[in-house]
Amino acid sequence: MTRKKNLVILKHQKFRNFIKGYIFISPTALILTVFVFFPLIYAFVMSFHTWNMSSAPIYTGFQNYVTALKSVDFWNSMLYTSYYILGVLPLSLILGLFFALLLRDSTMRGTSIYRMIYFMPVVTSPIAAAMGFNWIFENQMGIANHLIEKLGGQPVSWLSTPTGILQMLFNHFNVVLPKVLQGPSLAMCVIISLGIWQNIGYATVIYLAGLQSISDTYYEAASLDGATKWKKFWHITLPLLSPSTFFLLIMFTIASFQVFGPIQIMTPAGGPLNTTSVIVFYLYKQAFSYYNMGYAMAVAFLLMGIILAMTIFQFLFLERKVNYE
Amino acid sequence: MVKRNSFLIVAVLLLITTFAFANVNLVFWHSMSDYQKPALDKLVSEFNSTHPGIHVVAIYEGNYDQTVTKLKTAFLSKNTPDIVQLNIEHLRIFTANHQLLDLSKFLSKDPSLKSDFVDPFWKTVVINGKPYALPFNISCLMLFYNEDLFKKAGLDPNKAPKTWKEMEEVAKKLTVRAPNGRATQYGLFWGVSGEDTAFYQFEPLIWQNGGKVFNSSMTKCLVDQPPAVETLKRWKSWFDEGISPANMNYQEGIQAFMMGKIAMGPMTSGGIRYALDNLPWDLGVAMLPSHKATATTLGGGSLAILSNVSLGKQKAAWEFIKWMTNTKNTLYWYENTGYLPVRKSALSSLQIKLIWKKFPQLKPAVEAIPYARPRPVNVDIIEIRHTLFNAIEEVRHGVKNPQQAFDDAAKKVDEILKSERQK
Amino acid sequence: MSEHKGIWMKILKHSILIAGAFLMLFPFFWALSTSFKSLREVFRNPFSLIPLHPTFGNYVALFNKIPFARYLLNSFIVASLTTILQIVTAMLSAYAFSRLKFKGRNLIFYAFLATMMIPGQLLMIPQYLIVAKFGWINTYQGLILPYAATAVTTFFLRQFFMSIPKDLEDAAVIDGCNSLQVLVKIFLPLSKPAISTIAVFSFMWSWNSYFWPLLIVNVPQMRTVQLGLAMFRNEGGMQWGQFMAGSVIATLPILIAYFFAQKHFIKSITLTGLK
Repeated sequence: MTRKKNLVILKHQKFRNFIKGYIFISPTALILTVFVFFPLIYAFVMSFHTWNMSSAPIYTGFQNYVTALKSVDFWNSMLYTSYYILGVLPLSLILGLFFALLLRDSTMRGTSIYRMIYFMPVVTSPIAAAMGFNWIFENQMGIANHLIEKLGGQPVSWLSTPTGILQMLFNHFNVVLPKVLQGPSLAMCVIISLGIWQNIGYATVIYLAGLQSISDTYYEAASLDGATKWKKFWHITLPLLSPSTFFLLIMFTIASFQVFGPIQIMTPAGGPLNTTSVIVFYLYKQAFSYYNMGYAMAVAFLLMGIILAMTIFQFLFLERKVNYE
Repeated sequence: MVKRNSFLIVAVLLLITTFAFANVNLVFWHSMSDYQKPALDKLVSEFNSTHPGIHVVAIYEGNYDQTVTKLKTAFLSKNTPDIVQLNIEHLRIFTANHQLLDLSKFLSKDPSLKSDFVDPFWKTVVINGKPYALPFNISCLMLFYNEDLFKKAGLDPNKAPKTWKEMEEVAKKLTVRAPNGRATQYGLFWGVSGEDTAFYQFEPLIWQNGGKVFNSSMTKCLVDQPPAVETLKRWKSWFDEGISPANMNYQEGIQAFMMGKIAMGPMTSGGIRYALDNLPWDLGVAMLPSHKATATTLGGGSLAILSNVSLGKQKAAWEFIKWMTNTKNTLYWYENTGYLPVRKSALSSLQIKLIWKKFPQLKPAVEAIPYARPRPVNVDIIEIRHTLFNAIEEVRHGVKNPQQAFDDAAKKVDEILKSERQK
Repeated sequence: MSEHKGIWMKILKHSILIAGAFLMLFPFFWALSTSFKSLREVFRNPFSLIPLHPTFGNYVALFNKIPFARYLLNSFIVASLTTILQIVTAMLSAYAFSRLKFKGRNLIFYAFLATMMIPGQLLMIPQYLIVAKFGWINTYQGLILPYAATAVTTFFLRQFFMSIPKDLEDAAVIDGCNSLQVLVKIFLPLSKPAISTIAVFSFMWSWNSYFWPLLIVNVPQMRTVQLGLAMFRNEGGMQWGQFMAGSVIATLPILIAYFFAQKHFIKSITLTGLK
């Protein structure tokens, strides 16, 4: 009898929790449904149509996807996106870690000021930041070229040289590399440097947090074993920081795939020979300059698939190596 | 009874007044930024003060391409303006879907109006025999040059180069090199990457060489033909010989030109006044040099009324665009920007001679009109132009040879034209 | 001996850190410096670190040319309301995801998380059509509501709530508090650092957003600062001084907000950024 009653109460409780749970998530769910999930379905349907925004859409099946996968421009923009990611990710992480290690010393003065300064670029508007970098690397009046000239060098066309930086090195030996290996153009390098500038502060703060959570006992034990500083870093610090690294890797990858604002401000035509035309820029142009709406949406779904695959890959293969305490 | 009557009279009077001076609010989207905007705003406010029943609100919506995007999306949400300034190239994008008002009905009431518009300008707004806009800010591509640099190089600043050959010779003289061989000043800057400007500048070169960009029915791209390919070779040689800077985009080139580090380049007549007011050196303006033919390109915009505007508003809107392009105002606009007068009566007026006295640099643009050709148009013109300017960029950067680049581009453009016809 | 080494080490560290700080700050400084140079000085003397004849001309021109004050106000309204709504919606859903057990919870949670991977540009046109259907073009609600809730804020707050010990709320429940009261009385005060982080990030994100306003605003009185800035850039010309003045104005409010919140903010990243 009592058992039965308890069960009823439990059931009742479960039901109440069920209702409560849904009530609590309903505002978020509503917004996401109306403004994310529904548009997603709409975009998915549209990706199977040809639509110029003015005439009625025409169903064309997988044609948009086939066109994209066959298009040289699409694959080039994927290549440029990879350059951007490969440029931004490692340097942001390494420099972020480097500064975090320097700032970790609790006997140092002014660490909070440094931390604050390093974080400033993170909160800066990408548009304003891009305009600032544009001004620094301007051909005629940019201070970068001014310094180069002062040091006796020749001014560089930062934002209008299409040659890949690796190819530039090999030019000295008269070797022409295959396109994939030529590396990002100078213009892309400037945009990458902006990306790094805006990322370092974030990486530093995350790494600092990671460092603070590493208990001193590890180091003390290692010292007793006579480990060198370098060994301690390699065998204790780095592995124990792997959750931070993993977190940053995921965040930066997702954000880097979607870089757009700085590119549009610094190279509104897509850079010299389109070498800064990353995937989102390509997508934007197809949608809002050429009005190939259906095609642009197909490209966006391909991009989403790639991001999803990358993230799953990172979770499956990298998270194994992450050392959660 | 009396009371009631008087009430009625007041009511009727009120009705009449509201009717006669009905306040029609018109929203007008335009692409006139920076230096042209003040002149435009002045015209609009003068219209408002002289037309008590109508109030026009002018809104800057970004450059021509951005305005197209804005208008396209506005149609999706039915949030469209009443009047819009569209690049003459872009009219077709909207007439294809009947989104612009056919102005025939107004023009038939005003028979003398049509014949007063300069003929080649009028042609740009007529699509399939129907006028969809009034030409407003039409420009010619002109050769701008730095007279100070001409003098410094021992050249006569009143003698601009008249042929390609002369231009190349002059440009060589105007290119200055430091002892280490690096150029500190270039002679020429023509048609390089920068959104939509590159091909706009390149196109007249093909015409001057006797070629065409498209066949007359707009079904085939002809840049793979010898006249266009030869032009591209010649243009590339300007970079190879070092009279043009090899690695500079349009923005950087303009900057260098303003700073007196580039001597010559083609620019739209719509910027003459801005240049005169802001450049720290003397500006010369001349016709583009000729080769086998003399030609320049017509650019600029027109004023159109949207087809979904109510009848009452249509009349007011027509009133506005007619007023903006009347003889007096087109002259004001010409004097303050450099965009060409669109009316024949303005071209033959006494006033224009006074303007030339004040700003002699404005005169060559008018003299160029007989040689100016409208640019070919198509619904997908933006994508087509980007494809063509990518091709000339590939040649400039030595990725492809001229024949190869234009062969590939022509193929791509033909495909765009074909798929557009199937839509 | 080792003391000496320690001092040298410190000097070395500081000099590296100062060099880093210099690189971080230089673009700000350079933009600020240029913004006080007249066009003439920018042309003649673009490289003097400090303007020889400082002028407010660029700022004056900016405010005369475009209604920047109005744009600032719009950005401020949109960013603060978006922030408040994001915090409220995130608190509710984060509480549900971290404390309540109900059927379909994990599935919904992962569905929310997956939205982080969708490229924003993909959704713009359908979102635009929906907002147009509601008649929200050129309105504050059109600018705000589509972003009133996000997966990131929910996720972030959930992580934080998980770190709050359960006994605290158990005591409150025994005292007769319902879930909403627990949320307000227990979670809200305890989550101050996390909430201030969300506040800064949401505000910053909203303040810096460009695409969505570009799409749905076409009257000047509703434009935001970023629109003004980008439009200004599009206008061409070479008004570098004015560009930089615009950048300074667009960045300053967000930097001020950051200065006030930064203490909490770094603490809460320390607490939740990982895990």
